[in-house]
Amino acid sequence: MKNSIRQFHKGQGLVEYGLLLLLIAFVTGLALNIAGVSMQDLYSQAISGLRGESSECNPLARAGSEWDSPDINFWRGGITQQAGGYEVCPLCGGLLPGLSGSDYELDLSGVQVASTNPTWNGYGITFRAENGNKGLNGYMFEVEKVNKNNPTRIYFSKWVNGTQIKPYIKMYYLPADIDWNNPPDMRVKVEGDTFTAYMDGQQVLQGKDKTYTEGSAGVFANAGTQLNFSNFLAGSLNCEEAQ
Amino acid sequence: MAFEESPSMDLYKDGMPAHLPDPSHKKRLIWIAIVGLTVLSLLLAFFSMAQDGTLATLAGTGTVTGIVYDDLGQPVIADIFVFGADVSAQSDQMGRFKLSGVPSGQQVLVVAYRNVGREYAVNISAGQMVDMGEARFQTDDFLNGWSQ
Repeated sequence: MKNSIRQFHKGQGLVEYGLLLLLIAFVTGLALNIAGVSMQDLYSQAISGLRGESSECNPLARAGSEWDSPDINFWRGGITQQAGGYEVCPLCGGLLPGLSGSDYELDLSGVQVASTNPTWNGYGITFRAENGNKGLNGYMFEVEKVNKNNPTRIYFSKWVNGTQIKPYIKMYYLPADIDWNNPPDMRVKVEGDTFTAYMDGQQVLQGKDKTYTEGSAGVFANAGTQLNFSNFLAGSLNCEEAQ
Repeated sequence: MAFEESPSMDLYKDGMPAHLPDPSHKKRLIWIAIVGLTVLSLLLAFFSMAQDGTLATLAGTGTVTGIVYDDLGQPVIADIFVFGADVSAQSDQMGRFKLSGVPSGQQVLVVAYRNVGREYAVNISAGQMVDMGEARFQTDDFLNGWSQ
């Protein structure tokens, strides 16, 4: 009896099944898009998982020979790889190619200011950023020394079409015991609408903004500074080892 | 009735069964799922369009006018654009600007001058012209390495 009932459904149209699968894929894609989940991130995680890599503790991206450098507005060039690290000329910078994440932790290590001008020194970590047709879009955590008479400022700022939005998202001054020329390892944690900067493991600044939800990350130097650093990487927030 | 929906003769070997199976039951469930998913996808598409501003553009556009001054109070030629929308304009030598095609709803206008921007929230109604008033930069705005 059961077998015969099953025979009724043998001819179930493939069209309906196809339509059903298509709709499920479409609805899933739309739901992920609304939730701000990057399909590229999901594919990357799936591929890492298939390779047997620990996707949570594997860096999402790290400094290498290739950088996505801005070539418009006032920016002058990119980042060059050298023995033991990287060099960033004044008003130069670059984003990690291929990174398009939402939440991550950025780690800039071995920062050394190589040479400076009397004014406008500093460097920054960009995040949720892209080099758009009209310039940089995204956020930046910056350490800035306007001149020798002013205390060193640290701030989170937003960039739209290559312009820096004023006022800053959040600004404060660098703790007196930290040397801006040769700071300890810098970390920026990007989670939801909250951005937190750490130096030497201590939280130094926190800001909030909802404008950009995803993008790459990179390193930039201010007009008066040539910067060297040993490494820069983007890691998953879920990886305790990276903390 | 379609051929594939025809009952098997095995069903009738003991006479007429008490409850004949409904061959279209599963098909009905499939179609209910298809209709449900279609409605859900339409709703999600609506939210997605609302999120990326497409809905606001479909609802109509308006115009914003205003005047831009620098930190010394002088009218300046500045770039004006809407965040998330591909509309922009430039102010004239008197600092006046007129930006058309701005999607309706709450929008963020960015006034950019010497690589620095200031944001202004404006509420746009379809077919209406909104006067934003004055956009003024401050001396501190240009204290950076790229506005010198």
